[in-house]
Amino acid sequence: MSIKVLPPKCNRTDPLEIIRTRQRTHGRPATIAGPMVRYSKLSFRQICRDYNVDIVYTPMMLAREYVRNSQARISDFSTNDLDTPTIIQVGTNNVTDLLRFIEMVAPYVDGVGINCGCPIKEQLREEIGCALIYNETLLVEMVKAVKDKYGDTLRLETKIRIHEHTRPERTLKMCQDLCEVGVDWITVHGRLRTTRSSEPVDLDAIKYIVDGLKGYDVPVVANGDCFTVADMGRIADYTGVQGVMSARGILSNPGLFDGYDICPWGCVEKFINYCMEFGGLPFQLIQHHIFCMFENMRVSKDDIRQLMSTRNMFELIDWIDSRFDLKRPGDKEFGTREAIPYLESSK
Amino acid sequence: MSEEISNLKDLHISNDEHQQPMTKGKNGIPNQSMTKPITVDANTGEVIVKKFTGKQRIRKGQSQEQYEAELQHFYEVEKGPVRTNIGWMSSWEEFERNLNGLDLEIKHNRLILMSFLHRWYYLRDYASCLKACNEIQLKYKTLNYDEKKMKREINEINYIIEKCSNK
Ligand SMILES: Cc1cc2nc3c(=O)[nH]c(=O)nc-3n(C[C@H](O)[C@H](O)[C@H](O)COP(=O)(O)O)c2cc1C
Repeated sequence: MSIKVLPPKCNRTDPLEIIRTRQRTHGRPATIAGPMVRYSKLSFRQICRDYNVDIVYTPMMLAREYVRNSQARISDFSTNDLDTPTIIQVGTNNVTDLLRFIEMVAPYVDGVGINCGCPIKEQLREEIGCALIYNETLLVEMVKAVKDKYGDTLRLETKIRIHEHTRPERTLKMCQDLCEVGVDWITVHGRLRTTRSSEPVDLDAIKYIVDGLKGYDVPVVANGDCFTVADMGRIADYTGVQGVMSARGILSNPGLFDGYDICPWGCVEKFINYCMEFGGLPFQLIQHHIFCMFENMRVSKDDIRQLMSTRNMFELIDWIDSRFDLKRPGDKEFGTREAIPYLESSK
Repeated sequence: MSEEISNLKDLHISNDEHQQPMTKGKNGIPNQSMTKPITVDANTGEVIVKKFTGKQRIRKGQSQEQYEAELQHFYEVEKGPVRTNIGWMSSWEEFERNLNGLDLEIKHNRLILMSFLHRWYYLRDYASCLKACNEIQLKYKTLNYDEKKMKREINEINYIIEKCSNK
């Protein structure tokens, strides 16, 4: 190749080291904000970091699109100096696209995760996401190709679902094969491809995998149904994992790993500020993030209705300012209050 | 995903957003079987994927030359991923650079310009916001745009000009 390819980020914050050591250094598992298509953008990743989250994922992006299309790259992934440790998640169905994708992004992230859990039809049809756990040969081949090329200079994770409940032998076998070819850690979402997220996550299955991988030096992260710090402790104690990942929980309450059972107001303030500072997010996405946090904070239905009826960012800011005391950076108490500061005059 | 921006209309996260209707298997156990992609050309990433209906689809590969062209564009034109540090939108020069440098036929680029307005408005710098609105309005007039497509954005700018003028 005539172009000089940039190497993986050299001053990365090693996510594997964090997962391995958090129990010893902090007396708790590593805390991880899971990938969410559309939502895990830079502003959201940043707010997570303000609340005791150790590692944050990007949304899944399609390797195929990323390596072929400049506009896809621009809208899929933006970053900054504070955006670390970040795992970029990729959806792919072949080694070539994956290696090219990694070659492009590796200088800018702390690790790469392969999505083997997404159950939506459009991805399964393309053999992406959860389809990969039914195609172990291809998955193992992809991990091997990446690790053979990069060794320890690049961290590679796989986020999987389970094949069966309770004692998922096929899943364990797949995980063992992944360990053999050098996967750095495995995140297990304790649900089948067909399990609804309203059904509880299968912790026995996760424990079965943790126990079955004892012979390997590869940590397991548990994913599913972590909504509070108490959930985090319970999940880690029961399964023996070294990290816990939350998705829906952290979306509605980015403060959850910091011990807040309800999203603190300061989090809303800081989130809005990040959105304004980084830019580039569609209004509906910002509105929806605030909606999720407000629901968690038990903001009244009427207020939520009003929030959702704002039609652009200016209306949204005006409405919030008319109803709450929204501090800006530089204001006293910016980002620090817990209770919702309703304006007396608006009651 | 790149198409996500245009798909935001249906933004909601019901618990089962990521669920697909399952195909019934034997004895009521959902069918967990999957088909596998067939690699046609390992050098280009060309694969055949099979739809549930049994129909085959080819996903075209990318030659080494095509990939290198993308990589070169990524390094030299895009300068890697977009970087947005705190304060990157705080200068007027940066606004002008974007106003005059970006291809405003692209929706995402117009969103970047709007982000400057949002930030000034949020920080209560109504004078800068108004000044920028006027510049954007002038610029949009020089574009050969589809009025229907940009109606929302144009309305938004009109709305905010009025708002800022009254502050
Ligand atoms: C809105 C939304 C988007 C998601 N997007 C992704 C994704 O891009 N990649 C992925 O691996 N999982 C994705 N998931 C699944 C979550 O990462 C996680 O595995 C699942 O929600 C279970 O965790 P939870 O119980 O903490 O929500 C998504 C989930 C939600 C609710």
